Amino acid sequence: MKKIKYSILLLLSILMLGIGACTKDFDKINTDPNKPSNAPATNLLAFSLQDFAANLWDSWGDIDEPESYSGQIAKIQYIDESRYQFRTGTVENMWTYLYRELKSLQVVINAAEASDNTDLQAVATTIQCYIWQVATDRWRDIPYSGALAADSGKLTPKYDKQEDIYPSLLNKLKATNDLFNNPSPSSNVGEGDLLFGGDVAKWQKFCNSIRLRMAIRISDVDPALAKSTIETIMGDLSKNPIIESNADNAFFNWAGAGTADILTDESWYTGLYLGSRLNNYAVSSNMIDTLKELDDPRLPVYANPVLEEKEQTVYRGSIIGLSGTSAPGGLSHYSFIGDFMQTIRQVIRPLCALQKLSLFWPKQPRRDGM
Amino acid sequence: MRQKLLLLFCLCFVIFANSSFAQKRQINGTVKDEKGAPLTSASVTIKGTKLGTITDDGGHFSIAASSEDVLVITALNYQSLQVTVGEQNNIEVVLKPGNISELNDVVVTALGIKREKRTLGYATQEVKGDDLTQTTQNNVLNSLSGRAAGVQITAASGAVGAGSRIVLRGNNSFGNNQPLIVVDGVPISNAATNVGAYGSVDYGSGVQDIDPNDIASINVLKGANAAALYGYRAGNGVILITTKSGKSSGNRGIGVSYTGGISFENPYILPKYQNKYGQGSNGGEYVWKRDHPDMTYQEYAEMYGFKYVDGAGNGVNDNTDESWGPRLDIGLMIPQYNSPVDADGNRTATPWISHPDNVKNYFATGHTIDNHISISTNSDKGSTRFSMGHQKQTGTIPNTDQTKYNFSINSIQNLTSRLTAEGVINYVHIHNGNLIGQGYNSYNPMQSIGNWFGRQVDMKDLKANYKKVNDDGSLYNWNSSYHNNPYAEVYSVFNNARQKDRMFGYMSLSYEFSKWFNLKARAGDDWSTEFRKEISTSQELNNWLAGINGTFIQREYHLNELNLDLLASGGDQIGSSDFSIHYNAGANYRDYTQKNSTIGAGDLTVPNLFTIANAKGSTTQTMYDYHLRSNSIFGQASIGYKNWLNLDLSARNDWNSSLPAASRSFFYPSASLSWIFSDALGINHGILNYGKLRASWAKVGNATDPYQVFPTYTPITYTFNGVSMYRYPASLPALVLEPEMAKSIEAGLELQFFQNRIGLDATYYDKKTSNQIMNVDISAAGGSSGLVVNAGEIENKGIELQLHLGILRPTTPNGLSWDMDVNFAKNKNMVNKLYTDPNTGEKLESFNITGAWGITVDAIPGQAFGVIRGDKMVRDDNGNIVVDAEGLPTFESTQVLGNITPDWVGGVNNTFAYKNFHLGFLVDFRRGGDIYSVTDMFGGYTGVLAYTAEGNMREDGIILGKDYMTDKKFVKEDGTPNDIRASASDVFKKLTYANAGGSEFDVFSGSYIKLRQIEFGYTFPKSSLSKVDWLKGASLSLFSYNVALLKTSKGNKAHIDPETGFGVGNDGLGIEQGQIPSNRSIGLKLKLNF
Repeated sequence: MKKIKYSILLLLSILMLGIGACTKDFDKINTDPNKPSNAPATNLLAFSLQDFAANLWDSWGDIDEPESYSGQIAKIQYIDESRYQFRTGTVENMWTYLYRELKSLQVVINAAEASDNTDLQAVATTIQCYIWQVATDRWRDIPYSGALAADSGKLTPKYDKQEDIYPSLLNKLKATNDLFNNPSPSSNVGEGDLLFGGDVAKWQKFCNSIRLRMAIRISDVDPALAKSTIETIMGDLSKNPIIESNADNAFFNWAGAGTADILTDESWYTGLYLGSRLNNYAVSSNMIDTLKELDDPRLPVYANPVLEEKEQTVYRGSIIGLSGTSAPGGLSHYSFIGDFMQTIRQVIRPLCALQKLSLFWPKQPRRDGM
Repeated sequence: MRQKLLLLFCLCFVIFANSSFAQKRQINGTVKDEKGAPLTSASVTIKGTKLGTITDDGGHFSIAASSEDVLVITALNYQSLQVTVGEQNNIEVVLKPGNISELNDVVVTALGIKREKRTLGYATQEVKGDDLTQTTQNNVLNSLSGRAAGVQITAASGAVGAGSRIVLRGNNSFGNNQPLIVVDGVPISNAATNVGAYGSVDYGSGVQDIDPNDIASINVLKGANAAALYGYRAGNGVILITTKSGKSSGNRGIGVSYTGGISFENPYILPKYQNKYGQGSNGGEYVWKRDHPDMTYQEYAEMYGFKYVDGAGNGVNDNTDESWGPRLDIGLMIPQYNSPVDADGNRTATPWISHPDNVKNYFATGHTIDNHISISTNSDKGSTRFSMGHQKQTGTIPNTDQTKYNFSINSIQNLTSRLTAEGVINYVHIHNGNLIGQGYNSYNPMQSIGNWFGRQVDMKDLKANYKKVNDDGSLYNWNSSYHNNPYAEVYSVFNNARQKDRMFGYMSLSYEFSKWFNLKARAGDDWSTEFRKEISTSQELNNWLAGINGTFIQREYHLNELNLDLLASGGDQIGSSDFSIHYNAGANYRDYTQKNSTIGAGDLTVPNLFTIANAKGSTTQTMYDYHLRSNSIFGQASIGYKNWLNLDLSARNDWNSSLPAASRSFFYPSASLSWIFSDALGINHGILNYGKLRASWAKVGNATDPYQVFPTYTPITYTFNGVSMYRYPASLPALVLEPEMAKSIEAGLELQFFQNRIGLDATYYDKKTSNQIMNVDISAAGGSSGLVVNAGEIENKGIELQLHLGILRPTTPNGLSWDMDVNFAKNKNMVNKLYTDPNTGEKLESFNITGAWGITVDAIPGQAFGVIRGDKMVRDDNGNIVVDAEGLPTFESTQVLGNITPDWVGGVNNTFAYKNFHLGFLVDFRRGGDIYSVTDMFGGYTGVLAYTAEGNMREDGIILGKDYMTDKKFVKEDGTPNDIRASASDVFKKLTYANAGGSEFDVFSGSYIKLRQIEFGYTFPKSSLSKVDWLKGASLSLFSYNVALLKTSKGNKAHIDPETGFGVGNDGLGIEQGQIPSNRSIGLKLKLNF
């Protein structure tokens, strides 16, 4: 009997040593093995560029909203946007996308500044200002000066006026141009530059061209600032280089071979083909009729012939804002977006180019923003 | 701490270990009833020990005991008796008939501690294993439906392998609401993978791995009070499963038993479809007469309604997957997808006729074959049970299946009179060749045939030709733009396979130093590994259209949960006083790890070779490791007075790794009191023979998932040209994180009348779960869109009633008896508060639980959990619905449309016995609990449901309020009654799709009454078996499960099963999407004992 008792006591001691109320490993156990507590700044830059390109120009962010609101596209299913009815989800998603890119870029900027990586800092600030501009152009007044600080407990940032945001962005870009001109020796953008592949000179041209674009955009409402900005840049192009040839264009080159979840294809392809949303959209009758009237050779590029009459080549647009819930005559009665615009997986989307390449962009610089 | 504990245990050792061992000898005896008939299977145990035996067929027993030992003899339906051995070697015992077992029922409570139910100060309800094996249900939870008060089971769907959601006493939490599942005292994982609000393949949850044939009983510990000893995981209650052991078989020596079942399944609730109009658009007679009265209907139908060319939009609406086309069965001739092609390559027109049963025809008769054999031995020295089970199931969705093997061994050995070793090992192997995808997904056939369909399509034709390839390489189908052939979906273009292996069980060693000190060390483990592979081939429509050679994703899951327990227990009467004390104290170490990984490809180089080396372009790889550890100490003491008053006190302290250092240690106590007033006051007359009052108070703390304390960056699951991408976290960690706390009070009354013929058990409870750890939405302008906070409080209060009625008692042996058990629970749920920002004082107005199609299911302070919000028709000041110039209502968004929380749930079970026959049937019901039905929404939008073609709506158009929704008043903008006629398609598209989202039109009450189960059985009398001397018992029964939906709410115009959901979590709560119809099962069950 004693044998049993002692062996039990021994067993207990072993167990107690194993169990204890020991919590000294708990912080280690609770450190996420799946995610880093710090990520390389250049890979955050890569995310911001890809996320921005993928979502701003996807079918929801681009075709449903700007293309439908401006009337190039007429929706023939889920007609809401063609009637200027916002869909909450689409708007909320875009808001989330842009701000998460802005925040990731802010982390890049802070990290670059701390490590005296001026090129990375300048590159991240350039694209961040571009995104700020897209955001304020889209929604006018937005949280700006107090934004991106939820991690320090500022959960409800105030809204800034667009009139204050534009000058602030122009100032930032001006300072960024100075950074480009005085790079630190330790500068290195790293592998994450999905836009220019680490070519800092092109980034600087991009930076100053954005300044010009902003200046033109506010020229009707703040001519003094517009004028001084343009004069500063054009007065010394060696210090303020701008995009001067197509080789300088800010084109986002898609990797291809993605899926509906792997966003590495051109975004219209992802949305229209992989996301099966092609037949939500007809080219608008305003668009098609105008091109026909002008006998414009670009018509077959922008629109496909209707499927209904296959024997002849018929282009038929839809009126904008159909009243019923479905398109009269069925979907195949209308011209869909042209193959050129929807079937190339690696096609590039211009962020900023010398000339407007696509009619799907506003013909005139928008001056009514402010 | 460690040293102190050690010291404590050593001290205990010294105090209690000094007991002596008296001389034992063999005692023989017989147990008889008052008439002298021997009692079989009466239990004879030595008081204060676990040593015991069971009487044989002659009522004989034999046991080793010493003169001081007291034998406790108990038998079902008899009063128990205690006999001191003394000098006797032969003991004759006569038991008086008496209390139905319930009163002295021993129930299993927290940590596997067996206690007499009468001493408990909280509610617990037991369901016997026999009740769980009347059918061939493979998910044991489904068999609990309606059998326990306050237990809400929601079977997700009729798909093979799908999980069921169980909620005890209402939804408590913004996160997990599932109770803890404990098998033989050791927690096991009930993990389920997230199926998401839009659904995916539902692979079920962990509890489904348990073979119901191995279950002796299930105890439902509903409240925090009962479960307090399980600590932080028991805030939602506990389902305690006790498996069968060699002892529970009741046989001495070797016993063999066999259970076999076979059943056939068919869908029993299908949506109601219309058969008046076929595929296409503009086809209603009203639209024809309005727009083109100059044409004949035949001309019009082919020109504007429907004409098939290629199913991809090149004909007239020939890819429209809606049924707003021309009228059926009136002699129209229209080219269709299965019409012959003439010499010019054009489709000829063929009769445009209905196929009313096309959806019904899609389903196959499923079947389940269940075989289970167990061998058990039982002696003084111990008992062992070995069992094997095999279950093979094929689904009502064609080509879906599940094969399950269960092996278990359960052994309890008394190594010495004081040293007991126990071991239980369960091994489960599950294989699915193919499972169906659920929810609104292209791989769910119900998305097309149930929601987006041409009502004229001949399902038999699709079945006969699903392998056929068209000239262009696509598969033969009715539609070539959006949908796969529903048979190809299950047979060829998709496949979701799974293999799972799991082992769970425990080993323990216990030593009884004295009746005051029993020490047990136990190691329990639950280990599983699972592979899933989901593929789509190059022939899958979307792949084919996009030129993709096939896709796949392979998922791996490895789970392990280790529980080490040290338990001390003991107790007895204090001297010769009226007081007794029993205690349990212990420590638990829990280590849970989960390792998941996926690899997948969005395109392939060689078509349909589903391996990663063959991937084309980017691949997906993910890894996820999850690790949680906790240490706990706990203690419980039970103080009794005169066998009619009992006070329980418990306390527990946890240290949990998921919480930050400052708050990871948390303490919580509980207390409960039970007072058997009938004994205390000496009441035991003809009417009331038992009465008990109970009350309890408890607090239970809870921690959270790991990795919510330190900020981290999120990797994107794919690379871009080889560059990894990281993003700033979408959700920020909590600044301060504290444990959640549930506080609960409970009071109950138990009464037994007329010698237990009528029994009532009533419980009132009020439970508040506060300080919940939740991820709230914050403005994305801060850089993240979520923040983990401690916030919110949900209160559940309600009553539970269990009523037992012994309506008929046999006057002669084998006469007719009728028993009825009623379970009823009314729960009032209230979200008391949500998050208030400490800096700004700003309040979170609502917390989103789930949502889909513009419908959100939210928690809103002041309302019950799960407010359904969406688009509501605009009304004027008088409550009339205002229509626009087209005669259609307009909608305003984010309006309250309903609430998912039911008012009450319950069940009524009837059991009849006559001679060797018995009959049982179970009805269960739910009142309230609204549902948003996507089948109702899309089925209305597309015009496939019956309600879109009632009366003359498609022939004459609709004036809302006059021709449809006549119970509501519709007015024009000027306030005059609506007289604007609109086409049926315009009306139903507007009503269902509203402002691009879900509307009130598709929200209805989920009330139902279901005839859940009928069982009719025959037990072969012993006399008839006497010729076969190796057969000890045999019974045969006929059963049906999910017999009928007796009642559903009027609003359920689509006629879906109101019991609907996805998986076991909060995702998709209250939202039905492409429901796989539930099945009626009819079968036979044979039980043999050798």
